[in-house]
Amino acid sequence: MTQSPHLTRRTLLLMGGGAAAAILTACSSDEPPNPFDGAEDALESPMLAERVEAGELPELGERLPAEPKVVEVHDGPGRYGGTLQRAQLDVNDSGALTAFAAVGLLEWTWAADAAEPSLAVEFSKNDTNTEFTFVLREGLKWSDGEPFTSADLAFTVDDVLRNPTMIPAAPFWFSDGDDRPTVETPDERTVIFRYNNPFALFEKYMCHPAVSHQFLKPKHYLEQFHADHADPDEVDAAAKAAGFDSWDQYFWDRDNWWTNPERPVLGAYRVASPANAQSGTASLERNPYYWKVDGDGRQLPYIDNIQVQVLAQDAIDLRAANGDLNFQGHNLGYNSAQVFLQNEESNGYRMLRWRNDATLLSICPNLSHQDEVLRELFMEPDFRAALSLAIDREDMNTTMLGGLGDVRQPLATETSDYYVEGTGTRHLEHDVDRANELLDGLGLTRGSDGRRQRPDGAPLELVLLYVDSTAGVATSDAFTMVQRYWEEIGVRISLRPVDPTLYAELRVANDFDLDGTPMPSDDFDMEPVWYVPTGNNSHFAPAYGQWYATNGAEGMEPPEEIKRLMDSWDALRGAPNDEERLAAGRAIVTQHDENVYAIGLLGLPFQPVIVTDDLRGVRDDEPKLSFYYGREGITKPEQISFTGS
Amino acid sequence: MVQPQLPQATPDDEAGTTADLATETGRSSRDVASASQRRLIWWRFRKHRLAMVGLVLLVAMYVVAAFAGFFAPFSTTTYSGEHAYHPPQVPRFSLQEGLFVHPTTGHTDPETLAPVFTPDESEHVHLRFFVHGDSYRLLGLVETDIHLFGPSEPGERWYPLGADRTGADLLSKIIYGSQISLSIGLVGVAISLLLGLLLGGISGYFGGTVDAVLQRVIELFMSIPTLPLWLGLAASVPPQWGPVPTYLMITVILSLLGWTSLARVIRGRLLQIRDEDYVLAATLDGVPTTRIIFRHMVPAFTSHIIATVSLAVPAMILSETALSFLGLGLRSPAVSWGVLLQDAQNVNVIATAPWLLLPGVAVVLAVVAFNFVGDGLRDSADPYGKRST
Repeated sequence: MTQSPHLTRRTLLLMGGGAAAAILTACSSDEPPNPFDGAEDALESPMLAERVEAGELPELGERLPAEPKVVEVHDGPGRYGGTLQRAQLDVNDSGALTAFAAVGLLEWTWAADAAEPSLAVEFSKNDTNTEFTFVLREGLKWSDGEPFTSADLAFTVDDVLRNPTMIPAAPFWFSDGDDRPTVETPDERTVIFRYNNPFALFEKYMCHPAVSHQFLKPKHYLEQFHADHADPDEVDAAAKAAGFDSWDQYFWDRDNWWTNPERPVLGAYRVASPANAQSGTASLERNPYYWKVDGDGRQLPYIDNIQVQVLAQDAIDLRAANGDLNFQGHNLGYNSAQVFLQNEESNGYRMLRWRNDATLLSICPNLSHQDEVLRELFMEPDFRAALSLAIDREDMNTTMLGGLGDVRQPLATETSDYYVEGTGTRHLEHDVDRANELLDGLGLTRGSDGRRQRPDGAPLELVLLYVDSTAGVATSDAFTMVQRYWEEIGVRISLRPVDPTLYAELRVANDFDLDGTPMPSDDFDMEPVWYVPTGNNSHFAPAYGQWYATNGAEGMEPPEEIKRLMDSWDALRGAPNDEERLAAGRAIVTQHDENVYAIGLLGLPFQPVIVTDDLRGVRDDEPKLSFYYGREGITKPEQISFTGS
Repeated sequence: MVQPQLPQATPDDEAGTTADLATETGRSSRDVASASQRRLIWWRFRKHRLAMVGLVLLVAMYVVAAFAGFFAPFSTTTYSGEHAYHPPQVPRFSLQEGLFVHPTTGHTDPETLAPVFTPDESEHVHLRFFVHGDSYRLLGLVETDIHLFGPSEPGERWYPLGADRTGADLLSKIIYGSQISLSIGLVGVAISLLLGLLLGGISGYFGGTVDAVLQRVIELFMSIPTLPLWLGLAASVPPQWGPVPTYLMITVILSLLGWTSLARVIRGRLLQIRDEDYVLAATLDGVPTTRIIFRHMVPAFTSHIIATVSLAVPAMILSETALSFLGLGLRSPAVSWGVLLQDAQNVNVIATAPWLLLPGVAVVLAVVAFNFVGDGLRDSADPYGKRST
């Protein structure tokens, strides 16, 4: 690779800066080292400059691509250094990486409403949404210094994503409904994805930080664990030795960027030591080969390290209120927001109020229930309407959120492209008489104890399955209130809080009556499980979802009404252009609005986000804290920095 | 009469004489010499001040628990959403109004998110004795709505110890919570005690093959690992059951397994006492076996049993919610001290609503009362023994 003169000059500057820093350090050797050492105009972190000097790393010019991605710095150029403190609830949650080290061929713009080039410097698609062409930046490198080329993408698609052993059923985020994509790599930098059917969501998924990184696997590292690339016997032996049943399980373990520090990455940070049961703290370290720079050509990220502690909810809230967490929105409890505000000034942070992806706590009756009587009952629009009308949302809002909460049905809101004027307000009013009338009309007579009976004479008793959580709207409190409201219309429910693993298993087994779940409603196209049964993980009709996913081979054939919903989803995903995609999405919203498949309860007014005063570059325009936009990642964390004072 | 003796007694702390006991209880030596064992225990117990305080406290608590509906100003299900996290209201007194508080309206400050309560100075909530309020069933039998003390008009709100996060009265919840906390735990202790006494007694008294078989059975029970057992129970309890029946069931099952250590101890003591001279004397006199056990042997280790039980009761109260993570323990909407305390365990409560920790005071009082009474009983169960303190 030939270096441009511009880069050479940068390197010179850098060496000058490094020498100055060395002299400064020498002069005050008895003082503790300042983590923010290094002149303001240094082009790379002092931490890396040291390693270059020691000969462990090539010079910056050789590490950066020919044309680095220039990031607009929100608060002016920052200083290098520092360790960002974070916390999370679940040791297996890799959200810290999707937020702070997100990587993809494309990425969301600052406004998070469109795609912009990221690893790919050019992107084009054909008119029918079947062919997507990316041109990679020249000279990109993995965090171990190996070049990143189109061969890595070809390996990922051909040997992993298309491999039926490794992925038996293609998930919605890379299949066009029938088929997985093929990939063509005419040269080192060009990648062409081809689908048989139009795939309107492909561009969005390539921006979605939790999906986009799954297309980027380091071939040079992972091929030693792949049976098609290495000696199958050796691969199997290695898997057995590591305690796995088969080589593909071992491959996935090695491919996990959160738990395996050896796996090379392309993002701003790499895991230096993973969190596990012993340590409980993951430490992340900057990627010396990161390919983004600020407007002055200084390599990003500004912050050197990130530490992520695994803590319980209360401990996270307490640490946040103490100002011990530098930048935290995910896993922060809304119920502690009052305490956060009280301690803002004394503990040196501020609490921002971000939007929360229109997440609404809701109850989904299982429309594909194994019990025929309940299934028919749940499919009755009047039954669902009665359940919704019996809920006193105003009372719930006053009691639980001091009247500040969000009351509506779980449908795309004004902030979504799929919003349909006038939707989301059906059956919100509290009208017990009307609810009783509807239930009487369905022939659900009341027994002597005031409780209603099913059409077959058995008492109507439903079990509400949910995960106990106090991070958002406290689920147990909310459902206890619902239990009380429904008692008034003679519908008896019992609550069954379970842990997240059991919750997922019971849902997939189609073994629940009612599912209590927070529903992120604005970006439902990115994860349709709440709105369209596309798989057995559906929140409101797993058996229909199974039928859909297996093309009718398994599961339960849905009634026409649900098939219409599935057709709309097919139209959305297969739309050749945005107009048709939006029209199909709005059809889904309208159908949900008319039928109230899910009964909305309450949503948080905002999502608290803690930012300490010594941190700058965090946007203050209240963006969405949403999984689909990388949560805190929406503020482009590679450009945040410590003020260093 | 035959006097039970502590076998380990050394000459230095030889059991007290009739004269000592007479001095201590303020009776004449003749009274002491002729009084029954039960009467001696009672005389001695009454001299144990802390134990008497504990006893009075316990009796009071059980009376309040039995008539919870009467003593509590409200029922546990009435709440007022706008009064969530209302701080405690101290009643005020004026000659015109009598005891009163001002009614408040609540809203949440959108800036600080703090609940703000504005008292309406022109209005008064009059607090009176024997007022009509929420209806309840006295002792589960008589439907009534009379409350000992509270707002004179039904529907008015008063928070003597503050409100919880749903705007329900905390005092009422503590009073109702005592019903579960002071009863269900005791069921478990009682079952363990009965089984331990019976099986340990049989094992120790008869010895030989009976003893060997019973001891192997005990070892079998002791080797059952608890966590898988709980997991199995969690899966087998039908979800339609409310939290109280579930918890009662679990308590019973666990105490059916928990008698083993007590049985071991009792067997050991019985094996020891069996060979004492006074037991041999009774046997030679032709006293029936049951009478030997209950009249001569059991009193020798009553103090140990009492100590065990008085320690087990507080442990039961505190462990009410320990199994909640499996969905087996008590949890809302059941009201018990453990549940109230668990609900209070979060940052927000400690920082902004510390009065929600008050159920802890009730737990401490009950635990201390049980321990004092147990302490006093243990001392007096052996009327001729020396005071432990």
